[in-house]
Amino acid sequence: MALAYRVLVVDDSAHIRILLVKLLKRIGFEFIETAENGKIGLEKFASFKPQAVFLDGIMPEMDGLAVLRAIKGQSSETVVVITTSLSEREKVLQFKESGADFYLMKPFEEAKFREVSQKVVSTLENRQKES
Amino acid sequence: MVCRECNTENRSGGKFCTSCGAPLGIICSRCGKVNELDDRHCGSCGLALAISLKEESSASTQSSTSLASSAAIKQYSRQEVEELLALRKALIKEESSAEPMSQDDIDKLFG
Repeated sequence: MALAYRVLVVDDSAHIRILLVKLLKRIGFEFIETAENGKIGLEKFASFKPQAVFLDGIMPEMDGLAVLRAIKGQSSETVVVITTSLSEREKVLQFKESGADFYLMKPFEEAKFREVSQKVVSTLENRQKES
Repeated sequence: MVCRECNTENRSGGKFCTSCGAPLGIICSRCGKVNELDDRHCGSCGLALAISLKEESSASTQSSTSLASSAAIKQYSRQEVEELLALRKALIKEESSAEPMSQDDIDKLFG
């Protein structure tokens, strides 16, 4: 099933970016952009205007938390999925309090990625119905 | 009770001298409770106060005599006790916040 939502993948690892794009395409997302760090991520966020962002937690230039706050400051409707290896309670809570919608810990199984992506789609559909 | 630091006569039951703030009892090194001078175990956590004293002064080989107790009592002012308790609380909080979460716990948190 083709999904018309725009998705931005922000991760400093080229391998992860390639993997996430591949998985997102398998799920049905067709409009996908990538960024290799937080700063470029925010530039692409402004130009591409994605409805969903898959955001790495640890990156050069700007870390995931700073990018998340900037995104949510501009558009609280954007669904943000944190994809990170950070598992400390304090860090997770910081992302939650800053507006992250979902949190996927690396490394992850494809099934888990599909589950989270489905939640993203459901959230986007619900927001569309509400607006 | 007479304070060993400043000789002020304090009302019985007090844990700290009302004049200089020095503890009037034995401070448990595990939980920070101020025990009576003749207590052999901490009334809060049960630690043997003789052991407590040894822990407080690892460099010292003093035995658990009343003389050792007196020496230990003099080591802490009220302010120092409060600082130690605050430090302990901060350490507990730090340990808790550094605790790793599983994906299942995270899913419950995010719904």
